[in-house]
Amino acid sequence: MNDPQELIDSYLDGELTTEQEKRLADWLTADREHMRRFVREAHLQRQLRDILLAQSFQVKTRPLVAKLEPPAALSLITAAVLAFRRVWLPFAVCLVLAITGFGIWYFNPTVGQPALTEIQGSGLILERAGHRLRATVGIHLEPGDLLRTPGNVTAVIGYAPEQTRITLLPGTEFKLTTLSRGKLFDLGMGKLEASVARQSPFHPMILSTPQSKARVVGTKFTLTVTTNATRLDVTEGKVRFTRLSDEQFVLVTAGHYAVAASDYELAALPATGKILREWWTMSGSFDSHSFIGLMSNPKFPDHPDGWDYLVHFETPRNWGTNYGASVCGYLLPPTTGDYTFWIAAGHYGELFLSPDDTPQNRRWIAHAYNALPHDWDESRNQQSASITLQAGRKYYIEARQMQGTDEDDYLAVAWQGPGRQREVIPGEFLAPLQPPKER
Amino acid sequence: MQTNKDNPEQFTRLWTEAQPILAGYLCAVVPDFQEAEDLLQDVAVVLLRKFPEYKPEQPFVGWAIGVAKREVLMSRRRHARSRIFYQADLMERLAEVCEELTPELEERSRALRECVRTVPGRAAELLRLRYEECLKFDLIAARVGMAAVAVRVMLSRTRATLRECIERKLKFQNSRS
Repeated sequence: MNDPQELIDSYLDGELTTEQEKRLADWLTADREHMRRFVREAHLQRQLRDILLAQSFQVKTRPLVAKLEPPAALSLITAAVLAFRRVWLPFAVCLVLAITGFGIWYFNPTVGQPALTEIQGSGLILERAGHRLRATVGIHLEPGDLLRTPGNVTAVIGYAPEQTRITLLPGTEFKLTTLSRGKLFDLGMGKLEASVARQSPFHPMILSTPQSKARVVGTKFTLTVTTNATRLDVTEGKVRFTRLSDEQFVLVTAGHYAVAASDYELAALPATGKILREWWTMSGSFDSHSFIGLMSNPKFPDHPDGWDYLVHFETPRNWGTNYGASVCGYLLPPTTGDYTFWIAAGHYGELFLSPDDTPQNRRWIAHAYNALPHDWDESRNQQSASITLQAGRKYYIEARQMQGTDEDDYLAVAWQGPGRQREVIPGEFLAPLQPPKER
Repeated sequence: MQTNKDNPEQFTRLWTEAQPILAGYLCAVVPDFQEAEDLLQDVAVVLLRKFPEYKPEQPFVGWAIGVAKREVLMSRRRHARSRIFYQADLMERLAEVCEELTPELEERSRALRECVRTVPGRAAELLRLRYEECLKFDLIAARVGMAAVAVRVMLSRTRATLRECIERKLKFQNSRS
């Protein structure tokens, strides 16, 4: 018996001789990956027992559970309620839909005609039916019109009396496709910012790019097109964003963005650039080298004494005394690969990372006692294990800090990953949690 | 100030999370289900007794595995055994690997629950006899009317199929996420 799997199986079946057990121990100590394989197998067999015991328990207790079910009279009432719901619920839904449809038809939003309302810089190009026209403020735009803003030109399209406003930023190519079935546009290249008044749901604004389609019924957003990707950033409302290559779509809500590109997961991700910090003032005596005091604070975690945003994962130094703080939000790695994290904090700090975007799944990965700013290697505990992260996914991250009476307070988190040297995590890879008043 | 001692809910929550990993670890070092389960109960009692000493800033699984390791060594002394797997350095490394693999093992457990449902008739019965009733191959063979060698081969193949199923599911989950 030389196959390692056979040795593992026989060991777990309790059938190894001492000599075979020695051979298995040698194989295990030869390579840590062998050890992992062994642990996975032991865990599988142990879990098999737990699962099968649980199944057996369910089968054995089913008759008992059946006896505890409500009496037949109650079941009849339940059946009557269900029958009532089956008939009346669809009828009620139809009625509500009919009233809503009538309301939409009756209160149809005002629709204006597009015109150039502002031009900054010179050289704006307006092409109509193959001819170049003089683009001036006030000129009305027609279906098929093509606008090009050279490097120094910004142009604004208005829809008075409607409040819709589209700003074409420098380097943009923009075409009005049609006006009769809603506002249909092509954005070939460049960037636009739009503030869109409420549109009829039957005639939404639709912006097409080479990679995507954005369906809008009233919102504020920015759309950016490069040669191989389109990025949508939504400030208010929501936009249905469709990737043309496979017709997959995602609803992008306020404070989120999505990218349509061939090698990028289509997902609404929180807008990056900052991370939330909250703090709780501590009174009385407490241990500033553990979080027990903070946990006992009745305001923790939902009612912080204050909050602000950090533009990267680092707090100001000597900021205060006698407080506990939490810096939390989402981490959006730019590249798939293995990352290592470090924490530096005074008096005491801990770093948690979730394997997904849920705070409940967070795991402790490192901690620091009295570590000076950027002194990442004072203790081995300041460094996490290597963690594999995927681009296009968001991970919940949280660092906590306790500070006593001294002024030497500080908290920072650094990372190192594919193609990146160790650095304090920049804001562009961080997105904040919503502040407490909006949760 | 509330201490661990005053917080049985906290212990219950942490224990519920850590229990499958500890059970896996004990299964690795004590390959007899019933003996491993007795040890798991002993470990739970010791953990509850020592819980006031647990520092919340350290991972509970790591602390619990440390306690489990000591219990296994104590059990070796009690039973005067000399199994090769009771070597302290090997147990130490196994404990490290268990802790390191914790998130992965949790995912594997979820995948296994789905994969077990796909195991067909006779193979499912062999699994039940081996893992639910903890029978050895010869007793299973007598129960189902097969040769002991055939039982061993069939169980081995079933476990291989389950491993493949788990890998497939994990790969699929990773490709979706």
